[in-house]
Order: sequence, then C-alpha cells, then structure tokens
Amino acid sequence: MLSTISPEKLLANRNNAKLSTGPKSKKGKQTVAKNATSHGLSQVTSYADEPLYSPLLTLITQDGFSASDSEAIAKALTDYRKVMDAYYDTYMAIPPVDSAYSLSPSVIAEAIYGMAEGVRDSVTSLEIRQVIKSLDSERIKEQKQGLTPMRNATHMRRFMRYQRKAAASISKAICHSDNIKPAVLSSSQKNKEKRNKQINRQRDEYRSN
Amino acid sequence: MTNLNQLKKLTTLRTVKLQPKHQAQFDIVFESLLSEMDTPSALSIVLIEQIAECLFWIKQHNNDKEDIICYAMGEELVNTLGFLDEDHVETLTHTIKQVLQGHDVKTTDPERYARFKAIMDKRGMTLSTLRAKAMLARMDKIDDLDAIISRHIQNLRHLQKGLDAVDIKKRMLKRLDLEIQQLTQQNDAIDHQS
Repeated sequence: MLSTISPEKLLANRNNAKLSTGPKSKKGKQTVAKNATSHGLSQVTSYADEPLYSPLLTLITQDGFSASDSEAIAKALTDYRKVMDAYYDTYMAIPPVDSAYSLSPSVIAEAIYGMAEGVRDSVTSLEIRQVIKSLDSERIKEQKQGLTPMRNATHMRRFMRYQRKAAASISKAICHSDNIKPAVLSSSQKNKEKRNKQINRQRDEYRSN
Repeated sequence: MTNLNQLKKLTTLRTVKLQPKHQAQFDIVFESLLSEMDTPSALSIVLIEQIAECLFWIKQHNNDKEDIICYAMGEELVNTLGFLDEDHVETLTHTIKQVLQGHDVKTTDPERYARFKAIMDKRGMTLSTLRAKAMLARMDKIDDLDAIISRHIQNLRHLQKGLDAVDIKKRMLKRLDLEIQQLTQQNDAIDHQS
C-alpha cells in the first residue's frame, strides 16, 4: 500500500537520512554487517560452531574410520549440508506468484486518489503520471519474472558451483579413507578365536577317543 | 539390524530438515531406499538421506518445469488472441494442466473445457503444437532447470560413489572373513585325513 506522505516531507526525510552515520549499537552493527550476505556459502566454515559437525564426527568414528578420515568425512558432509540447507531456504523464500501480481490498476488508482486527496494542491498531474509509470514498470517487471518456478530456475543456478564442490569432496573423503574397521575386524577376530577353540576341543575329543 | 536399532540410528542422524509439506514426500523416498540396505552403517544412512534429498529435488524441479510449460501454454493461447488477461492465463493453465494430467475435464467442467476448446480451434492448434510453442518461448528457464536437474544427478553420482565405497569395503571384509573360515575348515579336514 502506498504511504500518503507529502513530497516535501519525503525529500526532508531523504536528506536527513544522508546525514546518518550508521548504526551505533553492537547488535545494529552485527545486523548491517549481514546486509550484503545472500547465502554466506563462500565464508570459511568454523566447524566447531556447526551443530551437525560433532554428532557426525562421533558417529563416523564409531563406524570404525580413523580419526583423520572421520574428520575429513564429517567436514565434507557438514559443508554439503550447509549448501543444501541454503538451497532449500532460498527455494522456499521466493514468494508465490499471487503476491507479486498484487498491483492491479484499481489498486493503483485508489492509492493515487488517496495520495491526491491528502495533498490535492501540491500533487501535480505530472507527478501522478510519474507514479503511475513507476508502478506500471514494476508490474511489467514482475510479469516478466513470471511464476515462482520461473524465478526458482534463475535463483537456484548460483548454488550449482557450491554443490559441485561439496558433493565431490564427500566422495573424495570417503574413497580416499583407509577404512579398516576395527569394530568389524575385532568381531571377526573374536569369531575366529571362538572357532579355533571349538576346533581344538573337537580335535582333543577325537584324539582321546 | 533390527528395526528398533534402525529407528534409533535414524533419530540421531536426521540431517535433512524440510517443511512438513515436503518432509512427508521426502520420508517416503528415504524409507524405501533404506529398506533396500541389509545392515546400513551410520555413514551409509547419512549418505542415503542425501541421495533421497537429491531424488526429491529432481522430482521437485521436474514439477517446476512442467508448471512453467503449462503456464507458457496458457500465455501462448491468450497472446495469440491478442489480449493479455491474467485471469485467462490462470484459468487456461489450470485447464491445460488437467488435460495433460489425463483428467476428464470434459465431463467434470464442460463449460471450462468448451471455452478452452473454442480458443484452441480458433487458432487451429493442437496440444502438441501449443506445447512446442510454449517450450520455445520459455527455453531459457527450461534450460536453467535442466542444468539444475543435471547438477543434482551428478551430486547423486558422487554420493552413490561414496556409499559404494563404504558398502564395498564392508563386503570385502565379510568376504575375507568367509575365506578365512573356509581355509580353516580345509585345514581342519587335512588334519583329520592325516
């Protein structure tokens, strides 16, 4: 919905905003620091802060991988999850098409009428035409962008290079690991010992008979 | 592995978290993939989860592609008649989608079908010619989605490669174990003979 603010007040607000020196509080500074971040996938990952990393590391180590292999695999999986979570969030964040087409001509007319009523003397027909033009160009832009799937197609492409890197590092980490499973080996060793004992016992019985 | 153990592992390892409407769809694929494994390790379960996610995305993007084509077909029909009305595009897209999905629109909504048929006849179009035109008009978006789908297939290959490596090593150990058992038995048999 359009605001009914007068052009003079709008101009004054804009001029005042130019004098701003930015946020002062720590929280405000932290917020604006993220203004230019769209997905943050290029940042260096601090694995210790990742909630998924340590449970994954524990489970992979329990599977019998060596400490260094477990670490490499857990890191690769954490990176992959980071990419895929950002992918899903971006996919879901694109608004449905209905909201994009909300600016119907009647809404525009109503808004202009409302604006003109408040400041009838100061709003010229040229200004109204300019507002109509800008709203119309916005509408055309939205129409060009089209349905949500169309916008998805454009938005999701930028994740491809991150996915390529993350997926390749998973297979690399797993295939290059010397996965000698102590757990499996120890169980087979135990079985072997048990079998040998049984065989020896049978042999002794056979000989004694 | 018992079902109880599998469930226990699953609850500790859920790495893919989706919204409820997608989660149910994802779970079906995941559980069917998991049921194919005999004794999955923790890492295998994580990898299967990622594979299921790739399959989910491939399906999702294929649906997106179909939506784009259907919408473009509606737009194409409306454009050829020389007017662009959003409501018309929406209605026509809905009808086209239903016709393509094999719904009997002719019986369920004869009025809407008659309107759709009249427009088609007026322009001398069939569904296949309309589809071809629509695809041509939205080729850039379809190309984008094809590239994304192909990326997911490649991701799937990488994950499958990792899963195979985990699984093959396990099988190799099993095989070695069986070979040792066989050799012990042979050795035992030789002992008895002597």
